[in-house]
Amino acid sequence: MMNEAILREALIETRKYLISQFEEPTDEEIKFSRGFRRRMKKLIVKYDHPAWYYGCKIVAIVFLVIGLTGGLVLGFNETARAQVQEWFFERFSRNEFIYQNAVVENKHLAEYSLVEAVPAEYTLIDRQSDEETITEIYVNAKGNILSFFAFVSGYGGSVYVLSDEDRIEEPCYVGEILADIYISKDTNNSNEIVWHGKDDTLFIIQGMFTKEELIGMARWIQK
Amino acid sequence: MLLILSIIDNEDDKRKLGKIYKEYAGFMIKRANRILDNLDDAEDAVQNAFIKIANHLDRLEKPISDDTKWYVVTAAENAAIDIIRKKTALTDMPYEDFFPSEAYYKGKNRVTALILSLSPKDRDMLLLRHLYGYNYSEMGEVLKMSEEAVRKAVKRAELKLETSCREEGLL
Repeated sequence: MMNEAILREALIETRKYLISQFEEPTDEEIKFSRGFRRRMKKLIVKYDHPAWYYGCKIVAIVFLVIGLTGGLVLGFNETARAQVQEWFFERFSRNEFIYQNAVVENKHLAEYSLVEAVPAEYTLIDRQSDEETITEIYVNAKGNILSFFAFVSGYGGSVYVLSDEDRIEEPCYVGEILADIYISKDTNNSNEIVWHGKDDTLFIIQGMFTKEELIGMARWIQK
Repeated sequence: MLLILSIIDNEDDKRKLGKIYKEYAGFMIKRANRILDNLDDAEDAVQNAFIKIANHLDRLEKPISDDTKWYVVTAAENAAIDIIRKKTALTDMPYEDFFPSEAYYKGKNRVTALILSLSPKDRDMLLLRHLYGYNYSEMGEVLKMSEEAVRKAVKRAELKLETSCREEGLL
């Protein structure tokens, strides 16, 4: 066989030539069907929305803790509930929700809040906001958590990271805006609605609510 | 629980995959569509390609690079060919039937010209083995071939190139 260095140099040139032959996609080709985009977003997290990723991660950890410690205990034991809430505050106070290297296009987030739309039994336990991120966490007496996230979206098209093997994903409308709703097959797990607002803000509402309740809250935000 | 496990995953890899999607999905669709002549099938091919790419992300150091571009577009080509093979039930359909002739290289590297005169499959074998440094097992995964079949195919491609080089007086 020939010298490896010569072969490698020739292969680099080969690749360069082959790449030069790749044609630019047409507008029609890069439009991508809705089905394709939906399937792809299950595979990929949007790299320029790490805040969202961290948000989901923190909520997931909370649910994990609740799952491991027992939701029933939190439902009936005020001390245990207080401990979880304390732990949750502590995480926020350590600024774990702050993200780095986010790519946004000089957009600033409007002052969204879900506070007037949440059911009366839920209490706001934490709100964090800056120019690009808003998070609100509510808890009811049973220890159920309602979380609301809003993020500046640098680019259109959300990419959703959570596996939905345990959930049914279906489209729905928040007013005239197309949204994705994720309904857990297990009624003990929370449901979620995700949509891009008119100003391209990305919203997520997650909690133990029906599809109609989630859409209702989302509509309130879009008012 | 699956939900949680999927969230607590490798963040860097997901960002990398996101960048690749944003930058190259259009090229992948274009290439797959050229082979399949059907946008719906092309999207299926690209999705399948991304699943493979996701499993080999550690091989792609920089998400935006020539390395990655060739690799992901080739993955889409292979996925498109798989779809044609499944649809036509012709598992032995010649690989090169789906590619237009691309050997119009005008550069000065004579070995490159000879590599380009090989079949697309032989070219891919050489590129993956000698440029990307894949072992036979990894190539088998990417190309849906057994390790032994890959070994033979690489040997065959190397032999063809060597023969051409001798004929051209390059060896």
